[in-house]
Amino acid sequence: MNQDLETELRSAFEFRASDVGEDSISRVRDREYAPARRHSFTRVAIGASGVSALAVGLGVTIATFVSGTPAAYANWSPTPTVASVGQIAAAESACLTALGADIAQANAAQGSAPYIADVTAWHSTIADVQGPYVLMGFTAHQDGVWNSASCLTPTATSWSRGPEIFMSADAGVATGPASGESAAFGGPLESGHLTNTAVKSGAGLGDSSVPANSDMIAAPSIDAMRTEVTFVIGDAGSAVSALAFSLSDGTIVDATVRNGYYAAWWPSGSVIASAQVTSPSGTASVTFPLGAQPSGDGSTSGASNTVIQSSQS
Amino acid sequence: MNEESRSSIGPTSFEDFVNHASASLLRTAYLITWNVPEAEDVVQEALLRVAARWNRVSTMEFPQAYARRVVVTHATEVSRKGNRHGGHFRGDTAETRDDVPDDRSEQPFALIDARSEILWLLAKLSRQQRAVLVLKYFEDMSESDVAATLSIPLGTVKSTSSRALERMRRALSDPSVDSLAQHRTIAPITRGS
Repeated sequence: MNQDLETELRSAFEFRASDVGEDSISRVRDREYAPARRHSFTRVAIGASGVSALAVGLGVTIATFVSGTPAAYANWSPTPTVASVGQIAAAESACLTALGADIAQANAAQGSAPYIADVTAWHSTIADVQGPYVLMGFTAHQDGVWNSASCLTPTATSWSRGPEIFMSADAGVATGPASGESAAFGGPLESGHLTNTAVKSGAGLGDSSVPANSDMIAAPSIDAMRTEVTFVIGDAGSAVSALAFSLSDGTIVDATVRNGYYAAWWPSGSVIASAQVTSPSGTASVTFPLGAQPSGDGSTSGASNTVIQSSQS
Repeated sequence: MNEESRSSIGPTSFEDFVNHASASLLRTAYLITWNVPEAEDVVQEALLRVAARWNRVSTMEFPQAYARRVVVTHATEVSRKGNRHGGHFRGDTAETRDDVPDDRSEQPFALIDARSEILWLLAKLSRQQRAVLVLKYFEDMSESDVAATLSIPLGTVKSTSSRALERMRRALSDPSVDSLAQHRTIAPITRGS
């Protein structure tokens, strides 16, 4: 009986599957899916915008990629939460596994080895925990080559029950950290994802450093069924004790600041309108896009593309 | 057996992957959703997600198996979240229970034969139950692979499959329980609507 029923089941499924016509298949095949490209984010060399002489040492990594729906991040909060026991270790392990696979593919695709394949050379720099999500930054330095990567895990948990990782190992075959900079990474900007990132000094703010860029996030090509996830990771400098981003939609996202690094992310493509940086010198507000004139009593740095509004406390 | 569902297509472009995998993924989605337009949506959304991860997915040994997992997951998730095609759908939040039939797919058939009876009974299963049977008997997956694809315990696969088969077997052996014969007077064929 069982065998008969199973045989009937196979037959019935095959019969039913024949309902799927070529027109349906064509509609699926012809859809534009725009696969993500490697280097969906890039650290940018500090010296790229000519401000390295002033830079205290803050690198900015920005990524925008698509993943699921807003509902998939229903547990997201704009404020970091305390990690559960083992949460960061589990995330780091998962991220390094994915990183190893990404690097192997990237090196194979390029016919060379611009990326540090030895996973043991990679170490995490910061972890930003928001509920079930962990955003981690990684760096590696080997034989004069510096690489960086960032990892968000899990993503879209309502869609995929297991941990899934967006990993972008990237970029920089850089020359190593420049004088006074904790890290300097190079690599091409990803056209269509980023228009520009830069690094800015804390001129007028003592030892503080602030992220700065121009049109930090370009409008990527986003399908209506997808949404964006944006994250920022960077070197905050030793003096920065707190950092918050005000987004274009009004959301204020508190970054995790630890060990000279900062990290934050949000499940949207909202751009950064301003950043509030707290250091012993006070709180500074940086307005985005750079070049926009802040209101109130502000000072303009000597950097070519940075405006810093000081609000000393 | 759909060999392609288990085969590795190796390193390739995403476009090649879509061309290769679309038909198979679409059939799987359709057998779970029982609805062609919805299956198209499910597969397209799944492929969007695969596209966003293509750097990693393309290095997998079985990228199509990964895509199939996304399809199956989404097909069953859609059942829980609601129907975007305006079909008959229960707003009951208990739809995640595998004993809740997907009544939307109750499409009557004019012909009453063994196959139609089987299809009728399949249509009355929940998507979770149908997904297990589709993967097991259409994709020829082992129960362990079904468990991995659905991200559910192996024991749940076994019990779900057992309950679904038992329900069908009971209906087939006793038409008074729940059979197509009871509904034979109604409606034209509207499969895939």
